[in-house]
Amino acid sequence: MKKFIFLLILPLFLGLVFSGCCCPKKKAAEAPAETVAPPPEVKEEVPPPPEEPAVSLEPIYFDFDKSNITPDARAILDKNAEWISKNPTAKIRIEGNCDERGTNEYNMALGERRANTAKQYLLNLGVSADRLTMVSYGEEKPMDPGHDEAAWTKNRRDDFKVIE
Amino acid sequence: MKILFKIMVSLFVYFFVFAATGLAQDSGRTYIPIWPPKAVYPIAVVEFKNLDGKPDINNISKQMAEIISNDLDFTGLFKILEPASFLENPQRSGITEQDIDFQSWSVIGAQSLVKGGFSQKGSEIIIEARLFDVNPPSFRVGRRYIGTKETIRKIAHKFSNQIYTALTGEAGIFETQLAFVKQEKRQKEVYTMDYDGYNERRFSYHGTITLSPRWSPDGNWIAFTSYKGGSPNLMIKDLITRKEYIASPYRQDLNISPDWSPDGSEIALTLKKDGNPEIYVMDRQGKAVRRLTNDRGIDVSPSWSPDGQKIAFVSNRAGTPQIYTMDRYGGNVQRITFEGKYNSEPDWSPRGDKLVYSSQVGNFQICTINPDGTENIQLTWEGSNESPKWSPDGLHIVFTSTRIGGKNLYAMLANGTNVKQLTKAGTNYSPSWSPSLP
Repeated sequence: MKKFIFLLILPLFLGLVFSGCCCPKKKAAEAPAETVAPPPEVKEEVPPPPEEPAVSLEPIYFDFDKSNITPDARAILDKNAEWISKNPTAKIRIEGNCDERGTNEYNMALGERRANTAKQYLLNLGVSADRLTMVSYGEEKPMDPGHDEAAWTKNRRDDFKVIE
Repeated sequence: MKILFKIMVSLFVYFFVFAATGLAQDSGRTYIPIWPPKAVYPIAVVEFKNLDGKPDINNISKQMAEIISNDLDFTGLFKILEPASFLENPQRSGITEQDIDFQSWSVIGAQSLVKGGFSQKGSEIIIEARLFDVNPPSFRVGRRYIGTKETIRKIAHKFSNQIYTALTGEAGIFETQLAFVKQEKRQKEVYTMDYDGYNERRFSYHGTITLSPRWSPDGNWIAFTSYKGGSPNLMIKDLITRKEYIASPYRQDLNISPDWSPDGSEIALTLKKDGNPEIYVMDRQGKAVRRLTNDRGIDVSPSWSPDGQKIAFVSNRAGTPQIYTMDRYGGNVQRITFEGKYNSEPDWSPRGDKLVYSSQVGNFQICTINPDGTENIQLTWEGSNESPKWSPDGLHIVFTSTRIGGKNLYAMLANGTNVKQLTKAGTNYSPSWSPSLP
């Protein structure tokens, strides 16, 4: 039994002895050298810009963070609807826009809503759906690059571009 | 049998005790706590020694010290000692443990010391770097790198990561990158750059408008919205091969505000295919589309929680844009923000405990809030500040600010301190922080 107890105490003793000398081996040799190369070059080119439609109808404007049709907008939409019915081959792209305030992503969705309410209004007046497409530009394509209320008012709008 | 038993017990005890003392040895090392950041740990970073005397036309000596110092300063943990206070000539002093006079460093208050050297062989640059404790003197970590003049910064960042891990026990972010949008005239394209604002590199070549770049969790791809083709599409582009593909589930749709799930297998985004901007989840090929939100308002800007179980997002279903959370299937919707009329762009911290977002308080300002809506804290106060994103370690926030006019990217610590301007020229906004990768 005594022998057994001795065998148990031995590792404790050895452990204490070894912990005294902190592992000099950790100071070692540094890791092997690492090669650091620059990333590969890839040549890319910008495509030519798409053609912008030449003709557009009168735009309508919106209040801040709103997508409902105002009385002023109604009058313009009525006029635009009349033009559309007099030009039966024309297709119209409704482009929704926002001013720069608020966040780019939310404004993309708000621009979409603005395009959509104009589209719904025109459909309601009898314009056929296959003549209308929509795109939102959010705050990305301001008409006026200024940073004041005058500029912002001009940017909260729907454009109506004529694509033949 | 009894003898065998005794031997086995002895061996068991032996290994247990030996291992225990071994562990105690390692856990004797105290790490600098990474929070709160108090900038008190004094470290001296010395210009690197020119080992072979060839002309240092790339200014390697000072660049290495400057980049490492700026990296460490970025963390808010270190007091970077002034080189003017150093007592030795760095080009004439030793850079290995035996050759350093640690007393002269201890005397000026340094607790850690970074030294290194370099030599040049044609276009090759060989750099060695070492970190030491000063009192008592001890070598901590060393590395050798072989690079070129194009990769000096990367080498310095790599060693900064070694220093940071040795002293804090955590992984550093000094090799991470930022993706962002840069506007030139009417074109808005995606760019990438080092986290500290260097090495800007164009990423998208569409000649049109792009938005919302987002790094994939494995760092290999960036998803972004682009108007190439006339209407917004979701693009996914490879960082190395530069090959891109269209991942939009539907053309003629919104395809905006993508966010990768934490395991990279899914992307949440906003589509309007059912008549209204709602949040959907799809795979990276634009397939397996499932709808999450279902209300008449605008739902946009999803951000996954790090455990992939919840998604934060913006909705104006209650009248104005506010932040909500929902589970990954769209259930259990909870409103989080109740102060202010316009709260947007949430980003869920990789640590899971905070959301950062922008709030209109006059101008827009960056705020953080807990996912249960408590502890709403404003972090920025000047200019207009938007599009915040967390660093992969959840300790820093990158954001867009107009505080000096124009739009530039800035970084700050998670408590709003230690603000650094990252981009210096042009119009730069909408950042995304890459993951930390080996």
